[in-house]
Amino acid sequence: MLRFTKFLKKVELKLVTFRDGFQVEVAKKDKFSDDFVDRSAVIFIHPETARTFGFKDEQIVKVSANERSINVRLRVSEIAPKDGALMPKSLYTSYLSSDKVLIEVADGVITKPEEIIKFNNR
Amino acid sequence: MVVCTGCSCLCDDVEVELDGERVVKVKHACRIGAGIFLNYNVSRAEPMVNGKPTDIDEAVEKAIEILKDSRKVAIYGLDNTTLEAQKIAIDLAEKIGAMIDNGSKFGRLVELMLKNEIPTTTLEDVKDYAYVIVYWGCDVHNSMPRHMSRYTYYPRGKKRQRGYEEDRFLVVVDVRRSHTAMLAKKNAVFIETNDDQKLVREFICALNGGVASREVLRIVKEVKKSEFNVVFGGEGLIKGLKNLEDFVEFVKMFGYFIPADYHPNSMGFFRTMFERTGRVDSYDFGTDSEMSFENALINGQIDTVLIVADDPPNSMPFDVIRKLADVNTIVLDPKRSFTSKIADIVIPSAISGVECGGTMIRSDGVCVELKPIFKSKFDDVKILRRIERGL
Repeated sequence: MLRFTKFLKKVELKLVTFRDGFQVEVAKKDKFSDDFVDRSAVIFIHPETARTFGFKDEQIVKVSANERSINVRLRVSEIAPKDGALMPKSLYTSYLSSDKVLIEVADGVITKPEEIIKFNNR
Repeated sequence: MVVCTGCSCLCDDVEVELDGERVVKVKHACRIGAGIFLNYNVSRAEPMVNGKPTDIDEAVEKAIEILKDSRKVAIYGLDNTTLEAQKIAIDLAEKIGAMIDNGSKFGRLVELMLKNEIPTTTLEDVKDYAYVIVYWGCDVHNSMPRHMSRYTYYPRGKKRQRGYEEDRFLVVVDVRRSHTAMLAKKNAVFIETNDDQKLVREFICALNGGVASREVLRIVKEVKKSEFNVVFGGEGLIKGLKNLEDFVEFVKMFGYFIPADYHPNSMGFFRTMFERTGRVDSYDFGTDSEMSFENALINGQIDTVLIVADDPPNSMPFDVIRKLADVNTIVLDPKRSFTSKIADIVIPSAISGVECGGTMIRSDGVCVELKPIFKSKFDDVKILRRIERGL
């Protein structure tokens, strides 16, 4: 099946992080739960930005920075900056450690915290 | 009534209903606070040594052994624990010549507050007297959900009897239209900016009667109606300020400043450190000089880290976290965390305010006594004291 999103290029956007009350609630409950992933592995894009670049609500996207990448869910929301993207502060934003990220539509599954903190020496 | 340690509001009007050891109902708390009480027993940390389950005594003994054999120790975290535990951690750092640091970003501004170089006030006075309330670089609707309803914008106070529609003026400054910014409707202004420093200078100019944007002039007009105006600054403001001199000048002209630091007891750490060392954070007792945790870890200056009630992988740059996995890591935490996944030693502790008492200091400097609903055999104070004696 031919999908338009396949032709989308990588989009570079400024990344802003914030403390999301819902995400904090699940982080304080259990950082290894599906709820934590649902609330943390998410990137918010402003409706205007989504329209400009053809992103859709609930799409899975690959977010990259510093030669590292994660798959997260994209959500279209007015709480995001008009000229950038917004993520709740968590292990995912720590992993990216950047004020700028590249976003592209992905086919994979959402990255789990265990995949990020897998170190060779442990 | 119990005290919620979900953020630095430290709300002391929370009611908890118990059924044996189960929390069945929480009244008056926000989403974050209710979750802490309702889920206190979920995902608890287990004592571990090198990834293998053990008992707490062996985990503590092994931690002492590692600390004794270390070249340079860092003690990190402490923003979520009690003042009593913070004091023992500082004693411990002094005793072994360790460096000590916390996770809050507000150190520079709090140091100015403690030196009386920037005017500050209490949340109770804000409630009673404040007219213009500025939230700058913070989304308190999310990070400290009861801040506006309990202390600032919404409640009626002694000199603010007519409520927020008439007796308050709300200003929200942010890089985006946050949930807090969406509340700025009647008698309110939202300023969207990517240049905090420039906006601070614009405010100074307007307060001196100079030229500024329409929004800034409108705010300054409101400021002049009251003697009591307050700025709450968040991490966004800290990040956006290139130098603090302009901001201090602005606050002196504007009114008062209170940090919107969500960590429940970072002020306790800052104050205790300031009293002991004259600095608020990032201090090396070995050399009696400044040393930040991130830099020390990146530069390979430390070989053992003792983390108390914090989870650096949830907030620190990944290059730092990677280094954390290379050194000896000991973690004291009531819950399973990302740090506990990479730590050599995991020592389970109690949740402050739920299973152990003590004192915390609100971000406005007011001391709050915790009223735990359970009593734990092990807490940060007991474990740290045992480690300190073992050294």
